[in-house]
Amino acid sequence: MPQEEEYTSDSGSDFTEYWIDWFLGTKGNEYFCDIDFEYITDRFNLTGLSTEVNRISAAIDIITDNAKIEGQPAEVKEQLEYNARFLYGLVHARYIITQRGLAKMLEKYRNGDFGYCPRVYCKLQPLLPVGLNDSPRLQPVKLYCPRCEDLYNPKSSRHAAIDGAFFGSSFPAMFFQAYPHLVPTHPTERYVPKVFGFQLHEYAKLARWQAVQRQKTEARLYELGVPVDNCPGGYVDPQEGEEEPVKSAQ
Amino acid sequence: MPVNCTNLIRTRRISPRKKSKDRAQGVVEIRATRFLQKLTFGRVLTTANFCLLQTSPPIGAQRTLFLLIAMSKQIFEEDDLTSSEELQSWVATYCQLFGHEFFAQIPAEYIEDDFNLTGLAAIVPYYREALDMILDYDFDSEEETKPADKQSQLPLIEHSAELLYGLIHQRFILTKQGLGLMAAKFESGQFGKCPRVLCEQMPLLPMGRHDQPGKETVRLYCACCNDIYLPSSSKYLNIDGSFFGTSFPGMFLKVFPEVARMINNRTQNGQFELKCFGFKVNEVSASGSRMRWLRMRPQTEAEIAEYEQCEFGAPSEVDGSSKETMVSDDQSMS
Ligand SMILES: [Zn+2]
Ligand SMILES: [Zn+2]
Repeated sequence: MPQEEEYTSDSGSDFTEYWIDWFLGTKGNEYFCDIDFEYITDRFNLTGLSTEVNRISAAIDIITDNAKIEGQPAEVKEQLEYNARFLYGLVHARYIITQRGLAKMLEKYRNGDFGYCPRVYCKLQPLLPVGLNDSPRLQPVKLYCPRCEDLYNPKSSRHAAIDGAFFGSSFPAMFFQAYPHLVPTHPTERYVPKVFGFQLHEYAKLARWQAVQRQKTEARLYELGVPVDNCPGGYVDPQEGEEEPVKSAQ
Repeated sequence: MPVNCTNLIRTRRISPRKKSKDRAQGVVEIRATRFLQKLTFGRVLTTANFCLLQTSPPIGAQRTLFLLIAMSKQIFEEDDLTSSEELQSWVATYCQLFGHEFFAQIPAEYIEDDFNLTGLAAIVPYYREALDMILDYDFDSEEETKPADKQSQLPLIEHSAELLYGLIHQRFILTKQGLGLMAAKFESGQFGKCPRVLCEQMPLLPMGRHDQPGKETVRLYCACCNDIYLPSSSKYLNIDGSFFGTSFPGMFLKVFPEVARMINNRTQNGQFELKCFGFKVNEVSASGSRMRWLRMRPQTEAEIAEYEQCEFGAPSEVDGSSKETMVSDDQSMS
């Protein structure tokens, strides 16, 4: 794997740097936040990880700059480095759903570090990383858009190769539970294919049915006393005049 | 294969507006030069030799031979860079530029047919010059009359040529031939793949939300999730959406019903649901599911029956009641 090579070639170059700083500065690791030292060194937070990570104590020492691995043979060094990165990822998934971790991820979210939703009607909504599983080595990380509530693949192949378990499946839900005011509104505007200004019949029909489903949700929420008009988690209709009038026919 | 000398100099059909004799002559020379540039010097010699032996009036052939050698010598002694650049037609060069991967190569015959250009003269500045540029017609003769003027206008004409090509492209990709060329690009994924996870790398189609140029850049349509996306690379940020137009994806779906099969395989994937430690987020919470409708498809019998009711408009019971009561109640609450 090309990424593996890059990690090892970069690592030896700067002795004065902290391991975490080096890790976060490596290209492709932009999604990770900086975990507090205290969090990593508290063994309570690592409960259960010793079954996932080989030689966990050595890995902790590397992350916390307590071990020099320069003298080791190349293969051993590489294995130790790999373990350290793997441990960092698994601890990261736990850390980002703590109060401090959420605050750090909030900053990254505001910076657009996880990219923006490619869907046109989401108007560059920032994304959040999410794993489809909590166990490592199953599926790579995906990006969640809170506006269209859908999942997207990361643009860059470096990001697309990161283990989803390093972020976990609960992160976006925890994030918006902590910051409910940041839940975006949902645009009701949608695309229907047209030919010479006329919507394709089958697609227009499906769109009408889907709009009925949305109105049902709105009605149900309204019954439950949940506001749904232009508030966090509510709906916004397309701005008047923005969409051209559509002729509905074949 | 023997190359006929007369074929070397033959040009393709010259459109009626190029009737002036000087102009036609200029075009003939340009075409001959281009053809020669495609051959290596050695091949020119052998070709010429062959012509000398084969053609019946030997003197005529000899003169052709000398003409060929003289021309080719002159060409090959010229700067290599400029000659190799001129090898390709404007259209081929334009479509191969960085970021122009979405464009299909429009055949010259389509562009030369004035019927296909109806109305474009009113939209595109320097229309005639731009068209000449696209078709690789030489405009030396005009340069003689007003050279300084022409030189300063060149960037403007180039810009107009790009605009004109884009607007012709919008029309061309709706023709049978254009759709065929675009289908090949679609199948090989040259327009990119849908970024949505559950669309499983569904190939995209380029489109614009407007048919008038200068309004918005190109967008990509996914037939699987029936949604439109921004291109993933910034190199498409300066490609005008109108160069693909609003009708292209719709036309594509109509002409190639097999796309529907690609969609059906993928819509079985279900939908993503936000979860917290394995539990669905409550609908009442702000981050609860609100956008399920967007990707829903009728599955159950009741849903299919409801869907059939949407044939010519939304069924009135659902449409009317919920919205209206909500609005009135909202006001009373505040
Ligand atoms: Zn989105
Ligand atoms: Zn899609």
